[in-house]
Amino acid sequence: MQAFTLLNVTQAPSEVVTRVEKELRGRHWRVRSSEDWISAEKGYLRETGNLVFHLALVLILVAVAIGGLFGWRGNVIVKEGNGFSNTLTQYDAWGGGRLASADSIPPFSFTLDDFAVEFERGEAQRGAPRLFEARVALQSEPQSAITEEVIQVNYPISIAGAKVFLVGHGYAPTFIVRDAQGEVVFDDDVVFLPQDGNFTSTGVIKVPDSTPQLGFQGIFLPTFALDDVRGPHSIFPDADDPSVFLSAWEGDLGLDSGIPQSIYTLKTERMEQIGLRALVPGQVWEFPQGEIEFTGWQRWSSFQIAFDPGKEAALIASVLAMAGLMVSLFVRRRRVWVRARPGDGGSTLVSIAGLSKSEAGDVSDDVREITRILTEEKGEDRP
Amino acid sequence: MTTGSSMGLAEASNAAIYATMVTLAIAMVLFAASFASGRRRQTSREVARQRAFGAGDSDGGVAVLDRPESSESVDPGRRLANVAMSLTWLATGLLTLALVLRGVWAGRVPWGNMYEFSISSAWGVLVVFLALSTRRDLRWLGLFVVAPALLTLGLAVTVLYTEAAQLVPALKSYWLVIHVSAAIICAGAFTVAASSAALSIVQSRREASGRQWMGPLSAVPDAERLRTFTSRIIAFAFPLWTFAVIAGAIWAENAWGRYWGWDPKETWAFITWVVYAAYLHARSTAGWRGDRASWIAILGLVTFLINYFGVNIFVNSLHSYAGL
Repeated sequence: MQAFTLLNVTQAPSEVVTRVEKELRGRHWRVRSSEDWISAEKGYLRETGNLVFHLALVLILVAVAIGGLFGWRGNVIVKEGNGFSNTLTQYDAWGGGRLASADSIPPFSFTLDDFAVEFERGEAQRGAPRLFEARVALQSEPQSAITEEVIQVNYPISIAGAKVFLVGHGYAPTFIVRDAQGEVVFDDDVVFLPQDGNFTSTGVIKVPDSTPQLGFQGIFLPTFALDDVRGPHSIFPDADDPSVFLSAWEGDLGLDSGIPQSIYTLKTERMEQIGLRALVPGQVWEFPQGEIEFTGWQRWSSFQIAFDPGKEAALIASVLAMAGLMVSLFVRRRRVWVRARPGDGGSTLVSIAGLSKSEAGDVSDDVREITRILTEEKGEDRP
Repeated sequence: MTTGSSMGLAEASNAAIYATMVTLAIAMVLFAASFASGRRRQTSREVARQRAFGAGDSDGGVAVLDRPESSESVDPGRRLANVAMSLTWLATGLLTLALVLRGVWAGRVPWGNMYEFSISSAWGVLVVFLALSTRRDLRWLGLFVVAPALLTLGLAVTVLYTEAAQLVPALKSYWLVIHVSAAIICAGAFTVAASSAALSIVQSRREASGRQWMGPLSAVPDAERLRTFTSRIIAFAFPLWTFAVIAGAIWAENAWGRYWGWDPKETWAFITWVVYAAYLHARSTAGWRGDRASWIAILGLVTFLINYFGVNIFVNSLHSYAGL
């Protein structure tokens, strides 16, 4: 963008130059001048902003690197009534950076007292989650007092630099297994993993203490439904009509082989199927090798515990980047030139021109301003 | 949770949406008619040249090669465009009402699902256009702004309609207001920018062919001015998009325990950011300032739309709040 104007004034050329130069310098222009001309430039801050922005981008990368090297993140599933203490061995999954140290794992512990969950029961978006809330009894250090805390989605709790997030939940049906002699060989709640939005959940019960060893593959349906296409499935995420489908196996669970195996899958290569059965809470399924009772269910929630020492630096760098970006886009770099030449009849012909050095800049205001400086107060003389 | 009176609010909101669409449809037809009747007007350079040579006149005026205030006599095409502008203001008012009613009905900001995001984005497009139109004559752009806004509303009421309901827990945060409002304004600005970029490409082809004296595009500014207009909008929208991404990252840190996790939404937001950064660099690179930069501006909107429709509907993302 360019702008220019011509002006006749009564002042001498040198007077014009001196006056404009004084005014421009007062407005922080960089001025070069001679007897009858001035050139001035303004808006170097634009380049500064540009530099700050790009340096801040590099800083963000550094902050990400710090987080990646020194940070860690772990996931754990905690059943209602159970506890968790923050040590490496308690995690279901834990990943840390190359330079993450065990010192940065704060020694807190908590018990999941209650996990509250609500789902939409209205027609619109039926089944959509409405409330997840984990109430925990937290002990931030081994000797400190126990405090009641609530962890919600979007509202994590912070302990000594680490943050505890609520990331998921599910059902843990409870079972009692007795062997052929009526001895209790298993009595526990078993974490089942949700497979769909209505919490059709699958899990495995392993009973190594009975002879022969018993194993069960299960599908837990919080709200039971059955159709030809999908088989047994859940039609609502809350436990309105819970039931469990079990497939029982006998044989060798393979736990003694020394090869670690998932608690969510049953290795059936060396087992034989006993049968299939659907149970509702309180029901017992008897078979020749013993019996299994589906006693009820409770909830579990999964937590992510994260430590990222780079995140504050990343935030500061982002704010810097924003500031630099805005300066580099909104500060206009521009030049103006003023030339004063003797005109007709002792007057001075002043030409004022401006050029915007930046994209889409408008320099006409500057030219207008210089015009105003020269025509104000001192008598003006028009051709 | 929906009582009798709140159902009334919902119906009123839907009625306001339909009224908006009817008003916009009329505005679009009028803009189109005005566009088709486009007539020759002076290019900015000609205006500037005339004014420049007359610059020594009595008022000592400054000649500027931008924003010519061409003194045109009222012709039918412009009168149509004026009516269309008024209708666009009316439609935007109605749409604002619809959003407010929806928000009151649901008892929250109206940004809980894709239907609401979509009508808010259409609102963003119209508001950015109208805000800019208070500072310069944008009647030539009306058709290309009202049409996408109307299309978005049409998609919203037909395909994406969702009964208002409460928010899922993941969206219950004040960051929803900050993050989504920035994204909605960006949607508006990117759309207006892409429309003017597309026009600038057509216009520059027409200029190159030498047939500048007739046709609908004669009412549209010349290609260089369109490009300047585009880049000004993007210079405004790019920092805002940067802010939207940063606000999203802060929210993600709060909700998911990490500020950046290459979730599909985050990845596409970053791609959009890179494309618009490329646009700004192209604008200051010789050989890329012209149509190439305009194509990048269009590509930017394409990546934005992929992120919105593609990721929300087809990809399993942490951002899948479509409510479909």
